[in-house]
Amino acid sequence: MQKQPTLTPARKDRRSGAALVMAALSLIVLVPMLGLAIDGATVYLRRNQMNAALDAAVLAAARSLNVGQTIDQQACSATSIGNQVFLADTGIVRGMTLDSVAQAPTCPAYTLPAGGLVFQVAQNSNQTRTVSGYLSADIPLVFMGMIHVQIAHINLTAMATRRDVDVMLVLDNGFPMSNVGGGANINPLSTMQSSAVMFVNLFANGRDHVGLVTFTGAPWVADAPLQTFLPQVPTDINAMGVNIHGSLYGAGSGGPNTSAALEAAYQQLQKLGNTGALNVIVLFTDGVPTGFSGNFGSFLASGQNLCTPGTQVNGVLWALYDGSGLGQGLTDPTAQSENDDPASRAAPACPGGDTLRPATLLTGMPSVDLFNSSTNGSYEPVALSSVTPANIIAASKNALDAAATTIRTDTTLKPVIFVISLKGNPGLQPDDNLLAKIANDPNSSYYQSGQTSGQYIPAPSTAQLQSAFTSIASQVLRLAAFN
Amino acid sequence: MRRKRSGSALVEFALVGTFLFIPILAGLVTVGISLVVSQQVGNLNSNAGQMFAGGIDFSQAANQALLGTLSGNLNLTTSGYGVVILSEIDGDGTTNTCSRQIVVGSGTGTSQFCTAPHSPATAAFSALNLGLMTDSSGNPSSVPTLQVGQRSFIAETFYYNPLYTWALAPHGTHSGIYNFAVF
Repeated sequence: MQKQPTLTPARKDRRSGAALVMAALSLIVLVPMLGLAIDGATVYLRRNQMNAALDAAVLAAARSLNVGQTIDQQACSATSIGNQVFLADTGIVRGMTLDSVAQAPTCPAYTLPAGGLVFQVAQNSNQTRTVSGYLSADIPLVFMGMIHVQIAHINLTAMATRRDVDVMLVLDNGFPMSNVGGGANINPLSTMQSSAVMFVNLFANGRDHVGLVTFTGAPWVADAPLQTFLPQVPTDINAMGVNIHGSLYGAGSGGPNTSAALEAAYQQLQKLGNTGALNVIVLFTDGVPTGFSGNFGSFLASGQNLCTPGTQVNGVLWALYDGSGLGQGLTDPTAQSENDDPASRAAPACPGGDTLRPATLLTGMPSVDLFNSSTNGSYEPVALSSVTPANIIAASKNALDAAATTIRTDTTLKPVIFVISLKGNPGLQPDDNLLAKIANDPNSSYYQSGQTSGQYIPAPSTAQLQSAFTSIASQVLRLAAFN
Repeated sequence: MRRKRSGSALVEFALVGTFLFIPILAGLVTVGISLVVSQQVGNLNSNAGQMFAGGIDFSQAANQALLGTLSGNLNLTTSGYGVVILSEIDGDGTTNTCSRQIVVGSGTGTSQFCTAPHSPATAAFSALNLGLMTDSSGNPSSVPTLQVGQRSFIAETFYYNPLYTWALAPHGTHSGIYNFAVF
């Protein structure tokens, strides 16, 4: 058995205190490592903060591309808002030093603030504009300074895209908007006009498209989508009136043909065919749809001679705006063409011209309207064989529901429908459930997650109308911009 | 004499461990936890705000569930310790107003920027009300002045967990981590 080596007392004395010495020596290595870890973590965190701020700034900049009458002014607006948002977001990032940058080339009129960013706006051909933001900054280091590394330099880039917006305004021009009949609202038409004009002015003239459809018993395409929509569209909005576009449709008695108006707007978006743009329909109405367009040729009662017996008879079947049983009729056998301005249209070659034709001339109603939207849909039960005001209204609601569903399920254009209603006018009050369904509002019990989702805003009175239009505009612009 | 020197290395090691290595280790753990939680809060806030600004409606239960998934172990539930407040700011050319607010997470809280109708606040988040970013009228002040029709979005995220209080305390007296972003 070998003898184990033993330490002499002298050697044990030399080892006494070695742990403290070794610990002190290890600090020479440990402290820089800790410092590196802390400085590294700080740089990592701040870089992420700056990156998030830059992302937010370019997104806000892209959303602001609508402000200004010219493309250059719009780029300046984007640069200004983007910088303001960036500076707001980086308020919590202390000690940062942003490198000085050259003046933004897209906006020579804009004075870049201290610590400001350069935003560059690129025009793309596919109905989009891209805002790029560049950041170059120095992050101060604490511990690394001991080895003469005072700063960490970072370069960041972020990009956001703003789709052009193609928007069709669909405005109810019916009799109740005149407020004749004792409604609670004062001057609803003029309030709606000023709100709609303000709405139009929130889009980028020269870049976005804005069109206008007005409707009563039938739609009128006042303006196909225009890229230079100022001042044309506001002028046409201000020209709306119950005695101008719509008088021949029985504006004083017939109900709104909302489904045909929606279809007319959709057809305009289809003609434009901007698949890269955000396609939007904004519908304003103050009542319930009480009319629809259809082919009534095969529903003439026996012995009746309406226009040319046995041939197709296209027209609008409508009930009174208040749903009463006194005024249902079949009017305008030649209506429904695009740009069908009722004020200039010749009287149909039918006995009685445009005079009201009692629905008793009909034995029933078609199961689809002229646009192939079902009048016998699931929204409201209807007896198509019985031409009564209640059934006409139910069929009109169903046609509107079906038309909106067709539009929302267009996977090419992906149109989004927004709806604003005004309450308090004479007649049947807007059907909130139906209009929320039309918009496919996420708050609606009918919400369909597989379809484009819009928003329904009911305005209890004219006092809320402007904010409703503004809110819709904000929402549209919000959807147009994305990272 | 030999008996007096025996065990001195152990004592030295205990002293060094107690006053040097354990504090360093505790510090590293503290910084590590803080870093991870800060990163989680920042990421959650950024993602939530970006989606909100992009049109995602977080008043919907399905979208709130999505946010809950994104939050990971921040436990963004009504019984958890995390909360996200999403605000919409509208402008009229002179004054910004808070038009809408959605609160997701541990009950509800008080935004640092503005208030809009929503459910009652919990004590945990109300305690964080620094009131730094509102003007005398209670409107958001650290947000660019917006024109009519322009809208800005603010995302705020706060995380408080009593289990981590000792680790999060260095970040402030409110024992939690707060992050905000204007979009």
